[in-house]
Amino acid sequence: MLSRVAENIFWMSRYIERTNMQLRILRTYYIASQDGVPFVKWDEVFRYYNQGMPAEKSMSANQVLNFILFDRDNESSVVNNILRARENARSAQDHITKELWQCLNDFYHFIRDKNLQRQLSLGDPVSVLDQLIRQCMLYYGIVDISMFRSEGFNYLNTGKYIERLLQIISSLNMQIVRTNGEIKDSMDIVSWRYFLVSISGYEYYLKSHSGTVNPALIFKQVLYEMHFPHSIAYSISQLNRYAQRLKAESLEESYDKLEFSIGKAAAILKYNSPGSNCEAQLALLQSIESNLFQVVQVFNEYYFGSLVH
Amino acid sequence: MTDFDFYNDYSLISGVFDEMKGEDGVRKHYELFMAAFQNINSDEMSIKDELAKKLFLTQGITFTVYSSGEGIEKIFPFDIYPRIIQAAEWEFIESGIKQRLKALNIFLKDVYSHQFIIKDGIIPASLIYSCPNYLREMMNVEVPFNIYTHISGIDLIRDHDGSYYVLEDNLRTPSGVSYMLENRSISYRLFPNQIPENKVRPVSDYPDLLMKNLLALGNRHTSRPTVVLLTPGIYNSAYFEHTTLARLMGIELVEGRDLVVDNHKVYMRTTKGLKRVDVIYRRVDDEFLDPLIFRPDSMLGVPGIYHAYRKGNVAIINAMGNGVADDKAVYAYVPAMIKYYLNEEPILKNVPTLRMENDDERAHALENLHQMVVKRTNESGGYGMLIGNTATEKELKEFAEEIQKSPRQFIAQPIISLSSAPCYIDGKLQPRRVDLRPFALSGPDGVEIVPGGLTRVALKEGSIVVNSSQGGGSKDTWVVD
Repeated sequence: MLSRVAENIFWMSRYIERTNMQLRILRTYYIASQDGVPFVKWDEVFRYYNQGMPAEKSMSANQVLNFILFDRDNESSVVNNILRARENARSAQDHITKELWQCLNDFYHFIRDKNLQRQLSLGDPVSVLDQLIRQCMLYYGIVDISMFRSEGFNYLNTGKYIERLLQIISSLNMQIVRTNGEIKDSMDIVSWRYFLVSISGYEYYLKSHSGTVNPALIFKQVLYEMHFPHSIAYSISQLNRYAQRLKAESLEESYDKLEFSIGKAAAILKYNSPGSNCEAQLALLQSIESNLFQVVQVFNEYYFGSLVH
Repeated sequence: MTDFDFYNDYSLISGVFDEMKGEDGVRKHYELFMAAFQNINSDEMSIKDELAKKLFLTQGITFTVYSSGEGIEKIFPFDIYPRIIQAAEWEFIESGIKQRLKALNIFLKDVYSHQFIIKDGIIPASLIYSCPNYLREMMNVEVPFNIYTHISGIDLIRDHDGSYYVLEDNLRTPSGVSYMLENRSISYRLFPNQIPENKVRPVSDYPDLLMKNLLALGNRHTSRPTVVLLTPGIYNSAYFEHTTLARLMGIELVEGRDLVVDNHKVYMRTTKGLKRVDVIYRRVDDEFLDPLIFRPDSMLGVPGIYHAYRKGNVAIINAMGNGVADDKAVYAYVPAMIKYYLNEEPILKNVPTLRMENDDERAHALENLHQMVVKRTNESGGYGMLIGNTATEKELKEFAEEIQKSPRQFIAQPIISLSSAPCYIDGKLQPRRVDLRPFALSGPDGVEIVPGGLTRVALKEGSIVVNSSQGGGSKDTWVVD
């Protein structure tokens, strides 16, 4: 497969995974703000999505959402992510199915529809977010049903799990910083609960730990729980699984580097036990994150052409 | 039955040849389809029209319009009523195009080697050397099988008496073939059973014919040479066509940055290292192909590809430097070329062309500018054109000044009225002007032309500009036995 096409598929998948996770976080955040919880600060959200730059004047929830979802001038807006996903898909059109291309093409036309923006400013933001999330779900379904299980599919999945890992790490990181990894008052309980909802993990948590909200247990679930599809352990094992399938299509040296970098991330996760120490938890997350960047680096250098020889 | 009488309410444009309706009524080859069309309920027809539009947009069959802000994607408008050509007429067109291409191909070989045609005084040397698309770099390059024009699109129009004229030869990177294929696949859905009943000749083997020719050009001793399609990328107006053709031929769609040249051989970068490339069907223009030889700022090309080509290590399709043969001023000499090289009378007529660097011809054209079409010799796509009878005084004046300033860049032709064909617009059949671009494939086994081609139509009432960038659309084209 062409290096560029592999990279296109990898990034197409990353942009959609990113979009999906962000939409769910925003949805939860918005609902929490309607709940009147004090930790919701839209100015901070704005700053996070504006490369750390604060807004010139205070903004309403709808204005911030509009900025994150629809603003073409905002580099990291959802509409730009969809645009990039579609452009990547377009460049790889002969290696993805027609149905998948049409799904992303529809998604793009859908998010550019002025009615949707009007709905956000006049109507209910949750229904706007729900519609966008449904488009993502359609994408996942079409990938599952229609994509042929060849090399492209493996790049699609490695991209997906790398992005999921990075998003989960960033989200958990912020939650720990926000609460210091503990529960001081009832608001912290609410905050941890919403965090679980935003990563689709609340129901699973209730099944095992009904009645208690314990940050240490949540941390454990997000890091190690193999039955939880947004856990770091699960995502690394999936990343490894699809990377292994690339072996036959790789140069020996390339594959060695890839196997090593993923193995190292898995080992760091496995052979560290930070307990409930907040600083140790953050250090572990950072260490895993920097190893994941290493994995991406290997893809860039050995598979996507910057150093293909 | 419909509430609209498609036949009787179809009124002709005076002084214009109509493809469907003559003085004695509907032409024979349209009868069968017209009868079926009359029987379609008008609501049903509107649904079909909507369906066609939807099919184009959801499949992303779009083209990008240049110089309009962020590069807007538009659908190439499709008119559902097919243009029908009878077989006998098609044989005539086919033989005319084959003859013309044969001559043009010999001309390219000649002009890039011995230049007999210049030495014998048939074409002035100044005309060739002043052509911006004449590439000195192609002198004495050995081209596989001596074929330059592997893929060409010859634009044909019909005057008021129905006789065919060649309007333009497109010998560089002609586009539109994917619309020919898509239009047919949409006709199947709009008019079930009509295609077999009318005995329409198929066009679907175009990708196979092209692939056969491309494979024949691979000169390495392998049973299956590596063929790729080189595209300028997703922002190119014809990107949809590039993906379609790559998909239909099962070849890799590459961009310039995917290819590297090492030791005069071309490779593509894959996830498993470099892979040798034997044949490149390129849709990148000459000047962007190799930044080391042509435009140094080109990001679309591949450094070193020209030398790999010269060495014969890779076949590039179409050959470089073909622009000298489809230059609009050289066009005037094609009938002379046919006589000179083939000793035959041209089958297809040329539109009489006045060359502006000849004093007499220029004076005549400037005097009668309002009855002329003026074109830039180096532009296509309907840009840089003046249509005398619809232009404003200001435009006429501007063009006259420009012609005086650089005569070599212009030609003038009498206004040909262009034939009309019925189009389904606003629930009625209305005549609109059309041209025809058949696609010809030249390979080691000769020239093959898929029956039909792309009919382009000027959808604006009264317009004679059919280019997609200027409000044109297209129709399915049926050649019927």
